[in-house]
Amino acid sequence: MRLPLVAKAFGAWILSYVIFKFGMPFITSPLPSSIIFMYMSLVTVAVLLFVSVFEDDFHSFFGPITSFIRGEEGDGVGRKMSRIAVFIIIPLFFGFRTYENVKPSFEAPFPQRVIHPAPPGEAAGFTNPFEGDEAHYEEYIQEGRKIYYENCVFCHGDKLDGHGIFANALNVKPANFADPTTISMLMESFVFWRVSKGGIGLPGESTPWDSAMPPWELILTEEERWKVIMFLYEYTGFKPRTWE
Amino acid sequence: MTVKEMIRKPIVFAGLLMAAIILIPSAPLFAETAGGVEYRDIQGIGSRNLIWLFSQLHILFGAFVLGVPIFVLACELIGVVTKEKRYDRLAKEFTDLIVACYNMTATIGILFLFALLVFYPKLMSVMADIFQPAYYVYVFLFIGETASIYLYWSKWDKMQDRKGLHMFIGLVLNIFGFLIMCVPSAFLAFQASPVVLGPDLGPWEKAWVAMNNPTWWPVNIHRIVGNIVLGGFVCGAYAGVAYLGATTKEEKEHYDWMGYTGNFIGVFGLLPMPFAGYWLMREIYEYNQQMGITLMGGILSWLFILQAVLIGVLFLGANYYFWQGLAYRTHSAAKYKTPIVIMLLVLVVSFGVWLTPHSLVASVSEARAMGGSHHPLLGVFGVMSAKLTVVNLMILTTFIGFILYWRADKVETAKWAKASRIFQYFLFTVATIAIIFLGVYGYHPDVPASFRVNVLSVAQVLAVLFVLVTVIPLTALSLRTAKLTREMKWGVMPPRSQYALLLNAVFTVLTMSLMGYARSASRVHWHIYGVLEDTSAYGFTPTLGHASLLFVINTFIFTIMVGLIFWSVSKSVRYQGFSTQYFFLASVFFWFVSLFEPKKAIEQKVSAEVKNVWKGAGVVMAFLLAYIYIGYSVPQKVGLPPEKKALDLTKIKTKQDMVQVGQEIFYSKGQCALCHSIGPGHGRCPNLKGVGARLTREFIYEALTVPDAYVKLDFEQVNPVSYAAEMPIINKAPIGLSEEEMLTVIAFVQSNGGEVTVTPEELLNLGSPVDNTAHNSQNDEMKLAKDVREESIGND
Repeated sequence: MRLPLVAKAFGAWILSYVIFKFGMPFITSPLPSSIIFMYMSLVTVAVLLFVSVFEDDFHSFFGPITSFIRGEEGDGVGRKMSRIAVFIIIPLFFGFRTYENVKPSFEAPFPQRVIHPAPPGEAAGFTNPFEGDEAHYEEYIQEGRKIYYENCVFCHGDKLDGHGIFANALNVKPANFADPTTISMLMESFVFWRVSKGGIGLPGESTPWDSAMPPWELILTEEERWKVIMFLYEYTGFKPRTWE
Repeated sequence: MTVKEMIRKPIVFAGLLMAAIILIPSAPLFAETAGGVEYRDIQGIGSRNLIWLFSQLHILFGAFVLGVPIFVLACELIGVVTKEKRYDRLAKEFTDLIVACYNMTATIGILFLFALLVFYPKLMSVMADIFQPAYYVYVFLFIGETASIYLYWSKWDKMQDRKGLHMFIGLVLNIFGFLIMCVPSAFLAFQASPVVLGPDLGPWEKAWVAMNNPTWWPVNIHRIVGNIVLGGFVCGAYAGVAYLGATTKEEKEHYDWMGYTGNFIGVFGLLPMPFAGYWLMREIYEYNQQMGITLMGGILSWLFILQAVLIGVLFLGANYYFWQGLAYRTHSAAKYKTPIVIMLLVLVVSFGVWLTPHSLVASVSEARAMGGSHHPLLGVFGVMSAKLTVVNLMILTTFIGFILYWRADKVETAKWAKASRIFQYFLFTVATIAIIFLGVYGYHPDVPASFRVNVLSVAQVLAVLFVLVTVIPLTALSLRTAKLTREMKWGVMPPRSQYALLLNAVFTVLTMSLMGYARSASRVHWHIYGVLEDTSAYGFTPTLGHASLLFVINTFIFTIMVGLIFWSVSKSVRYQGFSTQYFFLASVFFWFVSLFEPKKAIEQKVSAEVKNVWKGAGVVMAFLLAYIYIGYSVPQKVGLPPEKKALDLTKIKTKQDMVQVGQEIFYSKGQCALCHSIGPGHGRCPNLKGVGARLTREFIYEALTVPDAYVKLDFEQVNPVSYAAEMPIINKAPIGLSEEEMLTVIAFVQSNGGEVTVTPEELLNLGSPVDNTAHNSQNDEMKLAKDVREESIGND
């Protein structure tokens, strides 16, 4: 049996929602609601565009909807009842959504911060003093490893994957260096700046500083910070992004 | 006629609205304001918002006045070549509008200038000092533009048999238009990417050096292409409204065709737009990486998500209109169903990727479930490689839609047509695969950023351009001999297709408002980047919600004003001698005349045509409101200027402290990093990596204070070239470092690979009052350095 266009369109819409909401967690991490909202708006637009390009589609899509809403001569009791039901359910649904949104909850408000703030000018000038010193490379890595396991491991984890023993107590979770979209996407100088300033030292546009990372410039020397950064790249096998 | 009936006439509403739009925002100009000489402010709207509105409206009207003549001239030319009268009619119809809008541009321009003089005297005096000669040029161009615009417009009918001369006037008009845009473009480009102006430059030389700054040409090109897009889409919207209101078949056919032409020009302007924008962005990165990061990765990065929404809507809207053309105007609509579904899918998926931000807005629990603020899968969509890939795919898809439309209802008769088609399919396939491959390859960790930016992205663009320049002539050739199966049907498009036309025009305006803001916001708290700081109460970056609200207000006011002008013009051209120069009086005039007209019953029944026009307006309003909502749903952050630290000599105890302070000054007050880089990256000046080992402190001092004492060349090329930027005198305005500050900078520069020979003691000695008037400060410094050396030898 061929499905009517209305059913197809709604089917596609609901299927997309199911995929975004329930399918994604199976494949990868679940999507935040803001993204689902965005994608579903896009799907809605796509469906509306699709059904309104051709005249026949337009009528077979909007025809049943308008005739259902307006009511036609000779509508049966079932059709009338379902129309009444729809007109009761829709306001109830929106009322419920509004109630959901405004009722007090224990959910922390959305963090509205810029994750990658633009570093101040000097960040671009930070250069690794040990770069090119191949003779002592292994030595620096070992020192970096020691510093990492004395300071960073508690949050960033044994495997540098952000699953340290404190990680579960922290919001936002510590950075996962094993993820190819973190340190390998950044320039070394940016990482150095971020480590040095921690969460607190970030510029105003990044507040509220959700990051619990301490400003390491107060604890580690400049050389120690560079060594630990070298270790991060060595361990994960990534290379820092370079301009050239 | 009762008062009630009079007031209900739309013309009264229109006149009042026009008066309100012009007078209300300018009222504060006449209000008495408190404040110093540097800035004035007004309560309520705020000086910055007012300037924002005036400048954006001025630029939008300007864009219209510059963009439309390009396409009017093109239409006239097509009319002459094809000998089709309708092209000439279309062109003339628009020339009437240009004249009216030209007046409006000037009116708002004057308001803008007055507002700047009132609210930002400090900035204006600096700018006048630099650009004074350019003002004369501007006035000359303005006179030329005015003369050519009036000649072109008023002699249209009289010169029907001298088309060559008339089109020449049109060409002159366009040249004046382009130049008149370039001059103020230089002012704002200079504000964003200033160059060093030597002290011994003459006024004309100075103005030219300042105008010829790194982002001037990218901005010019970006603007002129944008103006064409605006011209095309506004033409489409005008036709859309006229089509919706049309009652006769002829009118419908004419305006349907006009809407098609406008949309076509808009889309073709849109295709090179991303490339032009990309070039501008590259120049900005080249000029100052910091500014590039602020735009693309920092506080303004969400602005580009907001921009992505607009660009996506434009692409979808333009394609939707093309598809409806296939569905209604051709005789073989059914066979396009499948291709349209595929194109829609490609566009929507691309749009989805194009929209996805790198770091997602998520609640705390969602972020935990996701494992951080980056989604493992979607995170990869957030970076440049993905965006450029999908935008190229979107361009390609739009182009395919156009080609389908072009070929519709035609049968190719050429023998090689089939082979050419197969070749074209092959080209599209190869280009698509290449674009995706290059995009994915950009993620490879071994690919350095510069390779991605300079090679991969450029290759993607070239692939698309190659397809464009190959397929267009091939199709044109094969269609020359093609048989037309049936003539296209005009005037049968449904109202919703016209809403798409309206929406495209409005969203183009919205995009221009947004991009204007992006350009100006990239300067953050500077009037002139790195040179003149914005110390007013508004020296900060507002939230994106606030910015979006202003974009929408701008767009709304502009749309209403253009609508009213179009309407007034369509009324006033009926009367001879009622010059469009006074168009904004038209509505009031008509209201006055109507007072003496015999009483007419007010029409109770609204016709379907008028209903559709209002429906279109409703669709546009709904989209604008939705846009404000989107603007407020992205992170709302205010960007504050960094705190200023005064040089505290008592804190400096060791050489290390000096180096630290010097580094801060190097990157902040000294503005050295605007041009110099240390280590990786390429500056517009010598790289200072390891420079401490090569230069003596005396040389560094001389380089700071007498920069042109030696000729400095870039020896990294085979043939040494001079550097892009000129070194300013550091202890003079605008940077004006004190002797103490320069000493710390010298310490910092020395620490780059050399030994720091400046000592804290010197600094403290300098701190005590020294009579600098008697000596040349340079000698003073030399002597001081010598004394210190001797001292330290003595201590040994």
